[in-house]
Amino acid sequence: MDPYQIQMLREIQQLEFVAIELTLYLDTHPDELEPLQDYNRTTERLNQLKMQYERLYGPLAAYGVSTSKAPWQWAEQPWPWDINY
Amino acid sequence: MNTRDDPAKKEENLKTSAYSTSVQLAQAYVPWQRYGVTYSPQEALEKGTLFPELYRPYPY
Amino acid sequence: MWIYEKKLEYPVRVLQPDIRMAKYLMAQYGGPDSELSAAVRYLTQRYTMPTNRTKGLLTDIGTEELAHWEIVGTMIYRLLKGVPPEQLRGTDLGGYFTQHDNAVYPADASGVPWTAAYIQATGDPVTDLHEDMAAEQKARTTYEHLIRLTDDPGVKDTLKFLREREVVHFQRFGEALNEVQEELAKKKVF
Repeated sequence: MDPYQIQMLREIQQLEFVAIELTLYLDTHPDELEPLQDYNRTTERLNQLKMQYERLYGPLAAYGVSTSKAPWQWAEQPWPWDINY
Repeated sequence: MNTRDDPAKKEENLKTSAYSTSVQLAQAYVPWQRYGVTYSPQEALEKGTLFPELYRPYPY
Repeated sequence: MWIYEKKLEYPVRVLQPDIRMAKYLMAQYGGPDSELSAAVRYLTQRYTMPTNRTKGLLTDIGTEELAHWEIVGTMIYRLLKGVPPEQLRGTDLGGYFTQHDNAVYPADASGVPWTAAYIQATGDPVTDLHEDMAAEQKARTTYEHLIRLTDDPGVKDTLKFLREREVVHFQRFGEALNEVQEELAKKKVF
């Protein structure tokens, strides 16, 4: 895996982690506006970054989440447990 | 000092009761977290939390 | 339903194969307080929670535990990768290799297979949330023991991430407990 791909994956992990933390916070504080705005902002940035990544390296998800070029790209890139981060 | 005489503790108890109507014996409670300053995405992932007030590093 | 994302929640770096550490890590892969137990526990208990918020929280934390299970599995897989049987002879993992080769089988650090007896779902939300909070503490403690058993900076780093997640989950379950107790108290009044 090229270093740029690892770097992009790392940024996706960072933003998605913020989204996970805000999800759990909002689960117990659903009426608060500030974390909600942060959650929505983070999610938008995350989705943009994922789209960029997928254009370069193929789908991060199957099952109707991401489209694929031909031939079927899902198994082209290494699986997470085989990646040297 | 007895908690009833400690103004800081009194204030703290009031805060708790603002969220839960009654604090009862033989029940457990955790103080409600309040939203404040958060780490940057990079720092959050490194530390394992977005929230400085929940960060409990292990020294080994 | 669930949708798989082709990435780890936290990057795993492993310096070199380490048979002994792989074995110790099984505690968090297929042991009583493992990530597998956590995921199955929360995803089982959520059906009978009394509030929508708590059902949501158990669903979301249960989902994150599956991601943690994948992280621990990845560490074990990498620590055992390429280790030939000759090296496993006479080590702690000789018996494991006999049965599982380099596969990542859900058993604990002593080889005991994972069992649903490690979890409970009582149908009482207060009781179940107490179990969940205790489970987070037990997992935190286990991670502390594991951190002290390795010198591999990559493994240590990932374990510290997982340990901190236990602290955050404890806080969220505690808040859920506050809410559930309040909800139940309201019901008693009417």
